[in-house]
Amino acid sequence: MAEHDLTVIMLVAVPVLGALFTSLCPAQSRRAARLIGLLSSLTTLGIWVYLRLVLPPRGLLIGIHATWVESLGVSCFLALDAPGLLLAGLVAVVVTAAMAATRRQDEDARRSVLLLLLAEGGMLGVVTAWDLLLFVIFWEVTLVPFFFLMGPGPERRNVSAATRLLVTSVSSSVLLWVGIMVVVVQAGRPFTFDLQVLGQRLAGTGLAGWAWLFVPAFLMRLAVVPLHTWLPVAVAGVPTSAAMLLVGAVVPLGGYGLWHVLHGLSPMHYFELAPWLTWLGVITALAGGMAALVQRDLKRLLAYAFISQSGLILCGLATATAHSAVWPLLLSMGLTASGLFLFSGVICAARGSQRILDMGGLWRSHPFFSGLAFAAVASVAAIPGTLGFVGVVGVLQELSGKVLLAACLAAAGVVMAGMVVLWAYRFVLGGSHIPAVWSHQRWPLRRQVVVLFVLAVLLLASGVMPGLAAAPAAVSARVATLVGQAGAPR
Amino acid sequence: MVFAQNMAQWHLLMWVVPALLAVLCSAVGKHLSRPVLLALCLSGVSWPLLQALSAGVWFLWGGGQATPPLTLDVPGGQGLFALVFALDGMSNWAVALASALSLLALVQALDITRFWIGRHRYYALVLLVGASANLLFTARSMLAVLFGWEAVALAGTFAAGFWEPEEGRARTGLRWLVFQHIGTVCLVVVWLVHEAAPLLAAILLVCACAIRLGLPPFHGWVPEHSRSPSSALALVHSVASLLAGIYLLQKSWSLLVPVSWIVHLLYALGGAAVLAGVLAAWLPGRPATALAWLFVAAGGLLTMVQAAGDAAAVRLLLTGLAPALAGAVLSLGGVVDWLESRDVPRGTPPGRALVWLVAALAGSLAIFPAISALALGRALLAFPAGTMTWVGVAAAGLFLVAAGRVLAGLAGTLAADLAQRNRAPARHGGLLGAGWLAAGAGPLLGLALLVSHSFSGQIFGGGKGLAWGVALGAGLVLGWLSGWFSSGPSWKPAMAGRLVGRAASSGLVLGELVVRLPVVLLRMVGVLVWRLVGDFLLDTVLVGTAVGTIEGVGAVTRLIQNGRVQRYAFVLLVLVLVLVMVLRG
Repeated sequence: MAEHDLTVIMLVAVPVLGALFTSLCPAQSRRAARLIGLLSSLTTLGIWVYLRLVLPPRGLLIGIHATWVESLGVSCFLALDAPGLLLAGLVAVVVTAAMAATRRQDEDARRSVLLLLLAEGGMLGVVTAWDLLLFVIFWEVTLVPFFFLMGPGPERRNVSAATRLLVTSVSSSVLLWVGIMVVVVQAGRPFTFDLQVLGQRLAGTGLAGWAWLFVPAFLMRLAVVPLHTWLPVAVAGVPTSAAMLLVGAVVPLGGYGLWHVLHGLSPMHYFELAPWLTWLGVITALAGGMAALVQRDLKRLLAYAFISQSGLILCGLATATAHSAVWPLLLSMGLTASGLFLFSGVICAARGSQRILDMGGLWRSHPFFSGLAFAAVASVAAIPGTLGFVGVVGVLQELSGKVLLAACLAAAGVVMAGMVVLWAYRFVLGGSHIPAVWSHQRWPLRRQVVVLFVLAVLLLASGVMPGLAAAPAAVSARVATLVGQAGAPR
Repeated sequence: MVFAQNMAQWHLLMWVVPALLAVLCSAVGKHLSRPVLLALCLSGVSWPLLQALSAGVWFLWGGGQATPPLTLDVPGGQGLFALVFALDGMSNWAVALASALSLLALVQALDITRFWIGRHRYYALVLLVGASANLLFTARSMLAVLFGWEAVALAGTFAAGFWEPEEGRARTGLRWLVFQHIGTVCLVVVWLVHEAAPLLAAILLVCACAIRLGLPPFHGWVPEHSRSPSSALALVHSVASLLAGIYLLQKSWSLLVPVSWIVHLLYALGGAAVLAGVLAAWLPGRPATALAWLFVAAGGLLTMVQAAGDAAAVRLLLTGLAPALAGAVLSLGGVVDWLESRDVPRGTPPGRALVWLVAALAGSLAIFPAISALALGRALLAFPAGTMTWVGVAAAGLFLVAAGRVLAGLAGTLAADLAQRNRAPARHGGLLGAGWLAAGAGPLLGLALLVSHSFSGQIFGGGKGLAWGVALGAGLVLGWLSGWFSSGPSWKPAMAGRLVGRAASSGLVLGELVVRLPVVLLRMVGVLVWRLVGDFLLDTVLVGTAVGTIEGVGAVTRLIQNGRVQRYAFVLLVLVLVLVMVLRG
């Protein structure tokens, strides 16, 4: 069952328009640029809230489905399904949080806002694109702003973080392009890039070995071993808002893309890949946890902890359906990463160092700000009462029903990563506070505290009421009942 | 009776009220006057205690069995994520005991920390420990149990490490946090696989309880934790560790019993804990550390009694042991605080400190034999006949004698320190102690004999149980006397101390190995994953090669575009053409 609503197009258009207006601002008007960015992201969030109420219980909400290039079979097909709606919400929330948390005195605020809005447009395009060519265009567009945001960045062996990201992304995307071309040709004439049509045509034959061409691009974006090395270097060198977006939205989209494209084209071959994806996820979970154990840089430690979570997400995606527990886990990863990178970005900037051993005493100097960060820390550690716990336990339950050993090993990796984050948090909080080594400027900013507060509330509320983070079928049905009882028209 | 029944049915308030008051205390406590802050904090621990005592009337005399389960209706809160709460007799007892212990700890904390900055947040953490324990005891679904289990651990972590004594190291409570998180993960796995793999579930359940109780080899967190303030130490060991661990063991007993060898495992773990705890309490160190090890030994003893199958004896014993040991920690902590206080000049009469010391003596003497020894007497009847009975006797006797000696030795040493500081003769402290012994022992033993005629069949296991209890009580008193009269700087005998010290050290080394060895191995693998696989293979070889290739192609392209290569290529081409023409010609 599918319904039509043009508001889906606005979800993609508003950030792009916001980027356009930002580019028209004078270069010195940092405040105007930030205001436009904030308004755009809030508008996008409002549109998403509206869409959450109207999405049909099961099916698709189509924004536009029109032919674009008839001879090539390219169509302009933007739509939202249940998991897509959750991910769109995640993107909207994370971008709004990143916009609100930027510092007013950043010299290149206009450039940052422009790039962040472009990235948001690209990510929402990924979530809503049901035409493969359109999907890949948005897929590639998403990372371009981060290439410019990284700028000079930290270099390792004369290879900058941006170059590393570009090389890894392009090399995996080349295979994606090849795979798509092969599938389009294999599906027969007339050529089409429509995901639904391709899935119907391939229902009998499937993808055969070509399915493997699609996998590296998504695994790279999800930061799965062995395509994970770009993430720790990237987050250490980008501004706080970009790091929030990178791990909070871009990485979860890698997981969504894997399910959206592969499962949409051929569910049969998707589930044939399940054992390989499951064990790759287990290896990633364990490797990420163990690598996190030896980190002394706070941001790198967080990056490896989230790589470990990516492994568990991959295990969950291997057997996912539209209403699996992996979607709350993706949501949890996004919100948690935003909160933790905001917290770490603020304290690292105030301390002038990213080394964990250089920090301490935050409980005495900033008890409220530090206390709010605990919600995100608890979510990473899968402590009961948080969204992270809901996601992790749900995925482990589904996995344990199929491969108990894989579930135990993946749990061990995620637990290791969680305990390391707990240790780092405890270390940062405790000990003595030496004011002389911290910044004398006022920190954190009030809006940064508000952003962290909102993220903490979302993580805790979803942990106690798991239905808030589930795929919207049950929720929208309940809302529809309430609306119907109130007599309001739909 | 209706009131008592209502108190039982409103069991959610047992943890909601202290939790809310804890948040309030933390948020605005800094701006409140001391009387208001005291009232707020005391209300937070007193409310659940009064509610539990009222509800107890319904359970004991009103015929109440249990309240109907209360499910919190939240979105998505069905099936796996259902939140269900209820109250029965055992839960009510646990809430009452936890609240009483929290009240004791809070009263001592209110006195000790009265001049400390940020004390309102510390009081809030004390309230949170009690609130989360009450949540655990009223939980009826697995998710709610996990909430309470983890919340108790977390609250204990922050309470223990709040007054971080070692600047910049932030280690106090860290091992407790890591160990308890592993225990929670074990419980999560039990939750997921208890139907598919009952044996694995039983083993993990035992591990979770053993970690919480600090039974060997999971006792690595105990020494580090003893650096925390005395109120936090007492609260964590008595409520978060002993009471919570034994409660979960009893509640999940039905999952363990089907596995035939689990009972023997529990006997072994419990016996090892008694031995290790008693030996470690003899090692030179801080008084708090010795008392922490006594808690471990108590946990071992309780585990053995639970394995014997007498759940009522376990609860009776816990009711005696937990307040006694916690009271000793709190009392001696008060004395140590006074002795170490810098703004009390020499010669000042130790008024408050003496009160704490007397409280320690009274606690160690009055509560221990009156309940604990007699409960042990009943428990010994439950041990299997033959060798296991004597093992139980040996464990119980070893624990009581050692506990009496350790407590009395500590109290006597501190009395000597007090006397020296006050320049009063040491015998005054000894006379004081002997006087309490005579004054306290007589009526208590008489009371016990009187009670035994009326209730012995129901509570203390009849005349045989009473006989065991009196014998064990005598052992406790003997241990206490030997500790008191040998108290002082060398209250631990030299030769025996060295032998005992070696035995205890090897147990502590085992605990350290359990902590350090996995971490060292995992870090080694982590370095391999990070440096060898990530940095070298992936970054340098794969990515670096690709980037190098791209840069090489770019360099060649730049060379061609600058004109020189074009000329050389033109010359080369001409030469090749000439060569071809020559060869053809």
